[in-house]
Amino acid sequence: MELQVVEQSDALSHVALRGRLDIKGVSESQMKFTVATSLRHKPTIVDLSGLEFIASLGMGMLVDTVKALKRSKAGLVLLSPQPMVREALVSAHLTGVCPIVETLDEAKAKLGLSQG
Amino acid sequence: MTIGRDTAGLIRLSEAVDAFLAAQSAPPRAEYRVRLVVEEAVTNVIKYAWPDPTGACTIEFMLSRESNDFVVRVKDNGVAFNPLLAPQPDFDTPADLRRTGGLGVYMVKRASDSAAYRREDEHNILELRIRGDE
Repeated sequence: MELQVVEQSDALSHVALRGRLDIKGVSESQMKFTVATSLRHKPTIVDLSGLEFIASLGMGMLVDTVKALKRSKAGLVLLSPQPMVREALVSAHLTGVCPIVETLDEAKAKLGLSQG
Repeated sequence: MTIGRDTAGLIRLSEAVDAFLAAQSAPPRAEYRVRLVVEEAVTNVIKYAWPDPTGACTIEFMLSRESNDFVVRVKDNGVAFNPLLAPQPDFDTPADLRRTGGLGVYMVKRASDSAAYRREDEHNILELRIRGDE
């Protein structure tokens, strides 16, 4: 499980997850993910285009991040998940709190940020 | 393969599952579903089967191909528990307000084409089938 920090600015946290968010992936990435997202208290984009697998532990990690960001009135958006990851997120009824978008512009718009 | 109630065992198990699925040339969708049910079913056992562990805690795991189906069997010596009877999460409540628990078992049931449970000789035995042609 690889976590890439794409942007850390005053306006936004943007990270990309690659690999598998299974029990091993969560244990490898959770702390770094928390530091790069919820601890920054900024609107957050999580790029899932490189994520091959997610299970309930990984979903729990995302939901915990949503809860933490909510306290700072910041949102979280999931960017371009692969089809089976998307299906798993939808079947778990997570998209209400972790909306899915396909482009970076959509992600920024969803978070109320100016595009570009 | 037999593992204990630790996550290191589940990680070893996942690697063995990967190797089996690759050897079977599992289609992507079947591969995802098998990985998902294995992860969720075994994690559930590790977390809940031994609330007061004394003595050996063992999980016997088997993955096979029967006809075109992948068959997952999980046998543990934990407290009696039929995961197929567990209530599903409250999806009417937003995920960030929802009580935790139940999602893993729900995903096992959803990802399996058939599921069966029995209690035998102080063991829980869960068998899950996933079609291997998609």
